Amino acid sequence: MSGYLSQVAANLLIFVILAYAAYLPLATGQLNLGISGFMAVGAYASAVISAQLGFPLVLCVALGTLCAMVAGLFVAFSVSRMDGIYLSLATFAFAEVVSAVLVNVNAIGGADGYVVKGYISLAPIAITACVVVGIVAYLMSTRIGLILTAVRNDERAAAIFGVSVPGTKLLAVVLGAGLAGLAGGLYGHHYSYIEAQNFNFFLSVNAVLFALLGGIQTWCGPLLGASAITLIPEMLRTSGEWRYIGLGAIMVVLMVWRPEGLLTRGVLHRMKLKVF
Amino acid sequence: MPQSGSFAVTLALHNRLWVCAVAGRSGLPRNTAVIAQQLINGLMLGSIYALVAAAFALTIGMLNFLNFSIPGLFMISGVVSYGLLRAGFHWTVAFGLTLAVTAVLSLVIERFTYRWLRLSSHHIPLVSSLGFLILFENSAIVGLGSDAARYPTPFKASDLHIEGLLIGVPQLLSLGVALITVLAISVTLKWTKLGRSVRSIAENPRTAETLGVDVNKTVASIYLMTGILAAVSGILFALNYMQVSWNMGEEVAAKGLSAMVLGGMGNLWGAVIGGFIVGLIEIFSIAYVSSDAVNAVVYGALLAILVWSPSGLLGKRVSTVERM
Amino acid sequence: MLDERPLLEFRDVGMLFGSVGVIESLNIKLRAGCRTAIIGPNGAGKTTLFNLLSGVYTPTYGAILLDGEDIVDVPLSKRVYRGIGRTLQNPRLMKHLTVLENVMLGQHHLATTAECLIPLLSRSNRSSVNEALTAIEAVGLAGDGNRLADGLSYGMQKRVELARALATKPKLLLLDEPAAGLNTDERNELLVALKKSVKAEVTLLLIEHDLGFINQLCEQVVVMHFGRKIAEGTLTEVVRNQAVVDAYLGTAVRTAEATCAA
Repeated sequence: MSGYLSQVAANLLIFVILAYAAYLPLATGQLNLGISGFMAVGAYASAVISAQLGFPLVLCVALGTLCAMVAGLFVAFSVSRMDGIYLSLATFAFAEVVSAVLVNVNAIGGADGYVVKGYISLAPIAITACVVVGIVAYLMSTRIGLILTAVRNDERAAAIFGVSVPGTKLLAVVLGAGLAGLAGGLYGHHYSYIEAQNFNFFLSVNAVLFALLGGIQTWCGPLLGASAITLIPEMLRTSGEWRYIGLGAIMVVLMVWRPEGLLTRGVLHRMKLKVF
Repeated sequence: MPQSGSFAVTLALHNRLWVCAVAGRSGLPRNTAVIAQQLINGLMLGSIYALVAAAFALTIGMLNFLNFSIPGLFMISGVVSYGLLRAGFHWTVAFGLTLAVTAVLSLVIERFTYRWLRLSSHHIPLVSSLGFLILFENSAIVGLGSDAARYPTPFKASDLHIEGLLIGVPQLLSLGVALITVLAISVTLKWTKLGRSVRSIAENPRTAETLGVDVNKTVASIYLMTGILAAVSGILFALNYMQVSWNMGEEVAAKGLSAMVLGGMGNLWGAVIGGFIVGLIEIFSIAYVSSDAVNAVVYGALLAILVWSPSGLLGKRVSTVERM
Repeated sequence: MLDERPLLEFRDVGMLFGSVGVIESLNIKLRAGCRTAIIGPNGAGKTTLFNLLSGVYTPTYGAILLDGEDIVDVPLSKRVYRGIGRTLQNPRLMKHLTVLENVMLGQHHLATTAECLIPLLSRSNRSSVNEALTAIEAVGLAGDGNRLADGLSYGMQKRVELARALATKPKLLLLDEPAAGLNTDERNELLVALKKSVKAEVTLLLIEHDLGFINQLCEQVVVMHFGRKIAEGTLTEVVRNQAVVDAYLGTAVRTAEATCAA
């Protein structure tokens, strides 16, 4: 596989994982605007552990994921009983703090970036992405998927039937943060270099858009969204700014015309009917 | 992508220049003069944050969503006024036209965000407003390029000298205009019929509608007020820092948000007070800590407030979610 | 039969919103297994009573005893674990879930952690699925299990709402105007469904306006007016009560007498 194609593939796989990082909170009706922050935590944690402790890469990435989950717990816990806007703001603030702090910590590179020891090639990333999609798909088919959707549709009615709404929302954010951390670890060890400026608000917005475009009602939506947004501009070979102008326009049009995304439960239902 | 430190560096530069100027001319003891100068700078910066914070407060307070097109409008007003001034228009015409353009854009944004909200999920207007931000920023890159552009100085007025302190006309202007604008909006909200309609929608849009409030028109006017706040702020920013860039909205927005939360989510005057506090924190952090640490301090404060004291200074007590 | 402790007791319960007393000094006792209707003009506080029972509100004073234990401090999301199931006046189904999934949501409090981690429709979950299907069948919606809740007719939504409440296997079942908005045929079907699916040991508390419906289903009636209980007893006793007549301004009497005579 050529270098360029390999890079597109790696980006796609990492974006897919990020899409699911955004999807889990969205499935409960929450908007995480700080996914880049959790990704940064995972990336830097994994890189530092790998450099300082020399653990096997799998363990480094796993620990990075864990760190991201702990961060997610810290950020979301206090706001789990409040209106969703607080979570959006808190995650946004968290990502900005992470970015601002990392730029200043010269021990891990500061503004110049940090070299990551230990290389993870494309194949393990592809496997991980598949496993992630598989786990999310499985999860959504269980009662857990049921209560996630219930919380999104009607928090009060869900509570009447015994669902712990704050607990469910917290779980979704923490798991999502973990996925973002996982994506960060994989990203760092694949490109062998990370810098804080890359983990920015725009990245968080992209992750959210992947999930929203594909549709958050089913587990396959984020996969579709990430693939579409990553691959279509590649196929069109458009230049940087126009690509983003297109992205901005897509977001606006999408929210107006089809806010529920491309794949909805209704669409899947009708597809099944056609098959049988 | 934007350097988070660039804005702070500009500030630091300004600060050092002023300090030198002040130290040389002032009859006051050096420390007091320096602190007084910092205060003035802080208030000026704070007035810009106050306007942006007020804009955010308005949409959160009245429409209950985070309007990310505000930084976009902020930047557009800077860039458009830059273009008009460069083209040779007098500043009254340039600023007037800029406000008009921003007003029109606000209404367009309203059509594509809130108007479709009412029956669907709450994240829609937020995401849609983000779309507009991305649209505006990248259009600015296409039109202006990715570097900052030097903003022309339309005023020939000289700076004021009081007690040896240097107070720039733009600084005074910022403070005055900011306060007047917010006052105008506050008065509108409190005393006019429009203001009553706005407040009834904030309470309950459906009830407001049955009571005869023209929801579409009222919401559009909220967007208009928000747009004006953002536009005025953008022009003041450009006048004070003498530059515009495609990403000038981002940092100011983040700090405006911090200011709003500090002052109390959704509270107009709380946002204004928060804006001044954030401005002062920033200036004094740069002076006494370092310019690099500023962002970490401000955003850290935002996070801390959200986590520990979310009602801010003047906001309502944040109760647990128990909506029926 | 009456020596045993009542299943449900409202002991001098009051609910004030600010200075407005929506419920005042309410005393009610319900035996296990009995079927009781609550009637009264609009604004009498009937739905507030249900909200107190399901934990939406906490009473300003008084105790609510379920099986002898005061549940006033039990949070909303835990009430279903105590055996309280309810329908809402206006159905609130999860629009992105199918009918079957909505009903199975009612079983949430009965599922163990292990059961939450297996696919909902898997073989090992068969018993839960079958119970849900039974409830769906009982309300007359057999075959509609896979339809998305979004887009169902109002009558169907009410029935799914009922099936969901039945699936919670409650000790105390609260039905808030289950027949409202239904035409005569639907109403009769609902009556049949309720008689079939509400087991003898389940205590039923029903808010309704249709006295004929009540007559078919309930042994006793509690009348509320302006937040106070003004009468209780059998339907026949209650409609002759002068206070009740006054509360309804006389229009209910003729209809009620005619119904009881039928």
